[in-house]
Amino acid sequence: MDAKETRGRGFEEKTIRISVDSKELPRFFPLFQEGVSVETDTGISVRDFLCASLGIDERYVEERISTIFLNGRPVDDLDTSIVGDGSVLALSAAMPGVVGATMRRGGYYAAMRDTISYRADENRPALNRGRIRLKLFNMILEEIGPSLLQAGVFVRVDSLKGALAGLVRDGFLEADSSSEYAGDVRIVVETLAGS
Amino acid sequence: MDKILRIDMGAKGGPKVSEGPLGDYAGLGGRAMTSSVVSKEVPPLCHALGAENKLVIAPGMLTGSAAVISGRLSVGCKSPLTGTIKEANSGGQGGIALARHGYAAVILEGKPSTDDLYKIYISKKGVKISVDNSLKMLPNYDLVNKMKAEYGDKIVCISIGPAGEMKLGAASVAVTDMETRPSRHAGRGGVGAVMGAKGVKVIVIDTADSKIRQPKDAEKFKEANRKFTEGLRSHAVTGQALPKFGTNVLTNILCEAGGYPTYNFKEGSYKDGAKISGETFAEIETKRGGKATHGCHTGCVIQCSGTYVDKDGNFISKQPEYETVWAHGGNCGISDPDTLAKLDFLDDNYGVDTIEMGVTIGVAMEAGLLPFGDGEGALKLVEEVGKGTPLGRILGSGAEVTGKAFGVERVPVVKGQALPAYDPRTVQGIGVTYATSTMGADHTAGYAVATNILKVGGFVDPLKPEGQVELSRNLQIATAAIDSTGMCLFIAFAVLDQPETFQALVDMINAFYGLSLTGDDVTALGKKVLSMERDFNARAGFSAKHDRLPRFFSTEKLPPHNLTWTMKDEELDQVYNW
Repeated sequence: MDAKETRGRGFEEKTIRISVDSKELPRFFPLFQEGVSVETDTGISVRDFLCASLGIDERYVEERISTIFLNGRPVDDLDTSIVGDGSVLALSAAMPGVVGATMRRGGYYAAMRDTISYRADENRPALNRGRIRLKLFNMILEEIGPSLLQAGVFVRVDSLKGALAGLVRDGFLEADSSSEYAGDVRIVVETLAGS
Repeated sequence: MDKILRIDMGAKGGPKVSEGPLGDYAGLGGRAMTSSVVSKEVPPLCHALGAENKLVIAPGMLTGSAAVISGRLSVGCKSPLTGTIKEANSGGQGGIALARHGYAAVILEGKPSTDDLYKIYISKKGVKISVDNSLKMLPNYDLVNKMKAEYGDKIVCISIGPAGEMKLGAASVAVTDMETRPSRHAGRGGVGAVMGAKGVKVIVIDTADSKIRQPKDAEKFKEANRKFTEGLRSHAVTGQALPKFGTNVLTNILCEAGGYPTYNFKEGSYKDGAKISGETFAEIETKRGGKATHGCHTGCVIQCSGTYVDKDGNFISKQPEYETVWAHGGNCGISDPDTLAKLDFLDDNYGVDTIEMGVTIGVAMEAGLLPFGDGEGALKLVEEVGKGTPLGRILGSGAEVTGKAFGVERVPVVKGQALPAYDPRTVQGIGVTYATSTMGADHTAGYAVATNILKVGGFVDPLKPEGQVELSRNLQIATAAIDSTGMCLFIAFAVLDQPETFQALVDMINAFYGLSLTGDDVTALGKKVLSMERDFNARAGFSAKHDRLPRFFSTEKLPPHNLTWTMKDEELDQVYNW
């Protein structure tokens, strides 16, 4: 485990680069359940955000990410759902139960949650740069979380401390109580070669 | 499964055992069997804890065969919690053990005239009933250990804990799992109280020399079973999400959707949901040396259960289900996984329904008995139930009784039974099922079975206003049918998406019984079961006015979407019009 700071461009000046053995990567997964932020073009469709901005394969998006919430509302149409600065986007695979099926994108039972379904806003967010808070759950978390960590995400410092505390406890990292950080910080997590 | 075992607990001179042919009940299993017997033989106006009520324990149609994931057990009676007909469903080894001894049902009748406590021992040699008052007030785990010491390891136990003996409304019937732990429960509706009223503490089934049930057409059955298994394993839900994370994988999703009842149904999203999610539980279990993937009965290929251990690797409980984690967790503001696992264990040990108990504690928190988030306080309350203190007896009688005892207005029950883990203001469609189910509020009453494949009532246009009602109706019909097969309801996800998997299920039933059922026949079975149940309830005094959600759902907005329940009564009244 190795961590160092670098100066970067964008909303946050500092980036913390962390190198870990690949089997330790799941220690960072809880960050995705709470939500990480990514810097991106905004005012674009969910499909463009996932495929163009994050680089996720379109077929994977269509077939695997079957449950999507935008600002807490189930999404049915990837093209008419627009992400804006500060949007919260949650991604999940197919879920069990009648309610799991109900939440599925464009699913047969979508009518059962009609009152909360995402509907395109007349006031479409403007094209701009901004941050989107991204939550990853279940299979999606394990499958695209590592590449996002490698590309870099913004996380809340308190949440990061929680993830790092486990590494300190288990002897992968030396304790350092002199943190100057507050709010959000950008992290890049890479796996050690050969791990 | 060619015989029914009846035990008259109130017979003169002590319990009387009789075995008979199936008669009018031939070809039935699971919920179809329990609801048929109760509907036909139990006076609807009887007291649920009286001699006239019957406790019917029935394996499903395919239970005990080589059909994968077919080990479910139905427990039916008139419910002391709801006053309606009741079928509570359990995993574990009980269904398989009974079926392999040839029993399509065990029916406990009558009521003993003394307060003696009985144990029933079923083996290849027959049935023995004996008084054993040393078992009084034993928790389930201690009871099962005592039975293992007495009868050996090759046993399956169907039992009640202290809550059942005290005849409390939340009392469950416990069924031992593959490790002979009493971790599986027919939880809902107080079925354990009815077993307690019969004076029966435990049914011990010796599995020695019992035989797997054989299909009529072995080759066709084998092929259908293979296709069915493939379908389950290849599906994203049954082959991946459930095995990896268990049913609690839903926590993050429901919190995100704003449909996760929090702080006794005051909010729709729990801020600490990620701390108690299925993903988090699986990580803890794996890290500590427990199991994140495990079956609850022989032949399960989904493996959505697990084993939760403490930091030193010691068993705390089986992997708590989504409903349990919700009821005791977000609903009560408790976010410590270890505390939730301990609550799960206590519920299992004392023999109470985890949903009813968690919702009841939420109501107690609302009443100010303890603050939301007080995990230690919640543990103490369940201990009170186990000890049978006056407070414990109130709590063990369920959310409705507790709400009345403490003057609480927001009591989330339908027909006296606590609502499960989905707020109907957010997912209005499931509210239709909660309101109209023959069982009281029940999330499994309308499960995601392929109504578009079954074509129950024709294709539904879900965008029409009446779509919610039609969807709920069709789901309830299909669920009643699946509950009768002995199949775990979780097969529904694969059946929903894969017509060939549904066909494999029908083929399996046909090959086993030598039938030629079609999807329409499955639909007819579901309708028949619901009609019997509905008729029983009508004769018990239930009418459309009971098919309603508590008023607060219509008057209190649920954050974050700030919605209320908006379904009209006249729409709800259409559910059973087919």
